[in-house]
Amino acid sequence: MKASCNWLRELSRIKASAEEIAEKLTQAGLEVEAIHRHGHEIKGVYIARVEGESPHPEQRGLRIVQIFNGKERQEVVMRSEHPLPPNASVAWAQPGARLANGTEVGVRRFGKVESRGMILSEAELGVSDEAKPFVVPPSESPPAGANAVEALDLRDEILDIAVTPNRPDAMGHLGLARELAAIFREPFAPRLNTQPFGVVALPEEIEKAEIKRKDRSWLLHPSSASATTTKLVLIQGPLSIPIQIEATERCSRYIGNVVHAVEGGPSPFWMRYRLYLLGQRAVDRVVDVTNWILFETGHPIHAFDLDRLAGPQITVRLAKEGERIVLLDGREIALGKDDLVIADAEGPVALAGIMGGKESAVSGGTKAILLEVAHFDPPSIRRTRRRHGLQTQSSERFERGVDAEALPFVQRRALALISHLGCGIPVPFGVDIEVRRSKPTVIFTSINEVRGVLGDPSIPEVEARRILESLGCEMSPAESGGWRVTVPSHRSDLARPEDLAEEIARIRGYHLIPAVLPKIPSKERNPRLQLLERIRCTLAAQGLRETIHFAFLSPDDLKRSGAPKDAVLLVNPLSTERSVLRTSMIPSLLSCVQRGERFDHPMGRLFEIGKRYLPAKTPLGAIEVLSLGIALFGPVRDWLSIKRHADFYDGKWHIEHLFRSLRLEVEWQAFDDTAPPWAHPRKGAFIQLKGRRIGALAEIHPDVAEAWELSTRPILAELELSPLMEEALKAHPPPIHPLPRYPSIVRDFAFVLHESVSFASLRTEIEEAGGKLVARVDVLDLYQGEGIPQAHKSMLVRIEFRHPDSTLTDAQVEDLGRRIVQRVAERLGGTLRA
Amino acid sequence: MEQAQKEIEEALRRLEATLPHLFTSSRSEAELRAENAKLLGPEGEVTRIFRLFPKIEAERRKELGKRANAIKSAIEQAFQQKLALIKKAQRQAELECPPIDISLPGRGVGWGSLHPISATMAVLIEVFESLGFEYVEVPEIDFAENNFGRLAFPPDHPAADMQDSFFTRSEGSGNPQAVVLRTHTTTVQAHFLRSRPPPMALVTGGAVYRRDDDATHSPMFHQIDGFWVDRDVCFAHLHGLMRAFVERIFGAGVPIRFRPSYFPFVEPGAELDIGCTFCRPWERGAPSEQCKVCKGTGWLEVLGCGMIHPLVLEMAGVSPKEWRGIAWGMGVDRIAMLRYGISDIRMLYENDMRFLEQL
Ligand SMILES: [Zn+2]
Repeated sequence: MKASCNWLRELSRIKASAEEIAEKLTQAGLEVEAIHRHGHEIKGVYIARVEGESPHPEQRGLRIVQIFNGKERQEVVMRSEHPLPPNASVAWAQPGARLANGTEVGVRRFGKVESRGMILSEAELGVSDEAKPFVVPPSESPPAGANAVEALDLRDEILDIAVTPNRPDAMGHLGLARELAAIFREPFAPRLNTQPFGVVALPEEIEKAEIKRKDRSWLLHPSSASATTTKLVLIQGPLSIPIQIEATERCSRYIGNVVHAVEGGPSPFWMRYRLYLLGQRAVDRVVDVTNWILFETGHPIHAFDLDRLAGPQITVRLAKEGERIVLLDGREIALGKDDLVIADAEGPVALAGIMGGKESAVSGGTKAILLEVAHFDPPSIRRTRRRHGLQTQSSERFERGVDAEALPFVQRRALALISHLGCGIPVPFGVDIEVRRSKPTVIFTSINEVRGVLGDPSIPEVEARRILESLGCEMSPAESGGWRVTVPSHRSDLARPEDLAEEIARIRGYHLIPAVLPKIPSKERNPRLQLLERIRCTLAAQGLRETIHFAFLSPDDLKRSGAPKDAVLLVNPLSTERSVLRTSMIPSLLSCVQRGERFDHPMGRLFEIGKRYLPAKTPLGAIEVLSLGIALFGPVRDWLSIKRHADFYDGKWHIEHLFRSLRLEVEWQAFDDTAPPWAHPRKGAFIQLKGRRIGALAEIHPDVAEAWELSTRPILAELELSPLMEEALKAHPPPIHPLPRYPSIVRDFAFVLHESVSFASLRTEIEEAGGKLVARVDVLDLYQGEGIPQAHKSMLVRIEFRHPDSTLTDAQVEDLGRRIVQRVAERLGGTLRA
Repeated sequence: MEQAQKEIEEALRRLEATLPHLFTSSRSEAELRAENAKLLGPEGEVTRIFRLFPKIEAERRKELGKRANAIKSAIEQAFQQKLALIKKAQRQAELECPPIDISLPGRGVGWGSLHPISATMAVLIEVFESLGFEYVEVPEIDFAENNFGRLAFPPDHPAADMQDSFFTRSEGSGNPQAVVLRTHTTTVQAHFLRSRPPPMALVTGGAVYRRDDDATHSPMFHQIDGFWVDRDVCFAHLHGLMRAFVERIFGAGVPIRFRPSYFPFVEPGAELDIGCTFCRPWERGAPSEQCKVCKGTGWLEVLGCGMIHPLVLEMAGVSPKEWRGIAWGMGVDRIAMLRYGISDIRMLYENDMRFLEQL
């Protein structure tokens, strides 16, 4: 909501600076997000009278304009596309003047002619966006030589106020002014003329009772452009239009007034200027008045061109399936059965409370209007404007709920403005259909309750009462003691004692509420949260970087990642790129790898802890699976060792390290024929915990890598965290054995084995052969290539022998070695490398 | 006998003559020990001399023995001296090696990092845990009723515009507007006020989702929500709690201010501002006009809070006459951005390596 400080000052009679107003409103909950200053920058601009003009002797397209600036005549050169009416009052910037946009005006030469200063356009004066010269209407013109900023009252400050949805009353200047008066502790008594100009006189022979029934009547009206002369004008046309509210649930009241002898044309400058500052382009007097009323009262009203309405009556009803309407902005929309419309005999003429129809809109040729002042049901307006994607100044206000009790006031104020501006002759008695009237809200509370809610026993009762009264509440003693508070109709948000407590706190200032530290008994920290934190820190300490990805992605991302395609869908996604919930951590991580490669960063060690979402036959239709994803891509970064890319075993270290840190043992299970679709079937394994499969670690499947256009082959892991955490919470520190008492002896063996023989099977055979005396088996080297037969490998293992109760002799170790070599040969076909 | 005596005397004379230059040519410990072995080793010259002694006359033995022992000890002494010299020289050489290039990077697994959001979330939650709040988990996919209705959002009210939601659907599910991605972690109230008897003090945190996407809004972001329901809870407690929280997270002396605001689930409702932690107006006397973080206002909005709306309590079956509550909720992303000086929220979710490696 934009608000003019001048307007607020006029209505509230609070003389405060814009900064002060902004600060106070913000402190009271009407957050001022910005202050825009207008007219303050302009210096050296005066009203001048055009005395004559002539074409420039040398340069075509230029004119020399003679002006009188109140003291002397000056010649100013200007472009000729905008003729100036003779004797026009213009804004003349003297040499040295500064304009609204900050430019400085000097003396310029155009050929032989020296132009002293310039005649300002509307945009240069900052009163509209138009490039045409600013001309003051003669009737409003200040004398030549007057300072333009002062004479035209150009200085104003516009506030951008973030009005919260509970405050429809603050959507107009009147409501804001009331608020200001309460904050500044001043009485609120705005002086607004609500008397339509003059009185309608009827030819005596026409009975009043008859008028409403007669379609066309004669009417005499005293009308004038100025208040001092009176003349009688003869009008032909209906005095009123019958109104029918069919959709009584959606419209509680509708007042329709006929205005005759409508004269279009520009509004007075003060009105145009203020509307412009509020972001509303001035159009035509009648339309400008409806906008003015909206900004002033916060109550949207609408004017229909009476001659464009197909009689005999208008109806407030729900649209029929298949009906269409072309709106004011030219959009044609198809209406649905939930859309509230104003309709004439032929069909909808306005989308109630949101936007009028183009067909019935007021135009330059409008002779008579029907002025609508109504109250529409907020949820109805909201549903319709959402359905059609229309947000207007009007819908914004109806949606919050305008004050139904204020309708007659708004009607009178609008008619008064119309008649006083001379843009029409209103028939003051309109058709007023009131379907329903809500009772005023009454709240019973007391100063002690207010003090209790706020925790401030020192709030003076007098002050609390004064605040509520200043906001329009009627206070009386309740029979049960305490207060009986009748809430004003413009504050429908006040319904409970707590609401009143907030009003009192808000106007007093929240800073006055004391601070008391709650004494809450301390509790055990959530063990799952702590564990999760530990897992995160362990992974980060392993050199992995944590990522956080959107929960939603495109169905294609799932498909090309080999992730489960049966996903939870978003009904209303922002785009198809983000239309399904991820069923796997893999696509998120791959998007990272892809991004890394694209931005010349083909190396990363990543993890993410987050949710996967799987469709389920539960009431919510989905389950959330807390998961861990890991991606390793690119070379192992080390300036000394052999250059190589991350492989399965790097990933295995991360997983084993994590399990170890949680005092758990990971079990690796070969894929066999069941690898996850994202995994290379031969370069990965399932991760198991106590016999339960919880995830997998593998190099990426080449198809998936290709689908993501990756040049590297990332190592990926995905596992469920909940089972891991459950077990970790049960895990205990390992039992510690006493240190061995006898020394161990170490021997290295280089076995040549078929490449299908695993390290695990070799170790098993060694342990079988050596029994308890084998304390440890390590791999030192793995080699394939020259000197080793085809499809074979050389595995160098180091075996540590130890006897628990004695020192092993060389002879014993030799014997053990022989037995091991023999067993490996028998069981695995392995030989010692020559 | 004559022979042996002569041999000894000759050897002794020869040895005595070499004594001054003993071991001078030995350059290493190994050479030295080899030289030494030639003299004192089992087959060494001195050892050999001693072996000849039984063969000579007893009266000469004493005199020659004395000379031989003197030579032996002189050799030993010379050996020890030379050994010490060599060791010293070796140590010297070891120390005088070319210096290593300390600028080469360290080897190992490299650096990992926590995401600014999770790191910030952990810090925030820990503060509230230490103030007595218990962490609980709440689902992300939830009934619209829990997200809106039970939190006193009026139906078809613009209040819901502040939180435009994503609805989810899976195969065979019914009403397309029944299930949402939660728009706030305030759903913790809807879940726990019903399932636990008061008093309770709970905090939760996690991802939330709104249909918004621009430079300052991300369709997914993170929040922390907490509430405390007990007898005689009042706004002053909220003030005290927030003061303690701000002091712990942003430091002592950072001013706070409550601004009245509106959230359907609180009444009275407020927004909490803290003094801009970048231009620190309370230290300088005024905010910095140029401060991009607070835009010259001197204040930063950090959270929304208030007293739990009696309707929320009522709907959960908790009597507002008996119990009152305070509640607060904050965006973690924004606080993380403040802590890390991140200006574009989208950076938090792009997971660009060039971003992550700065952490
Ligand atoms: Zn700042």
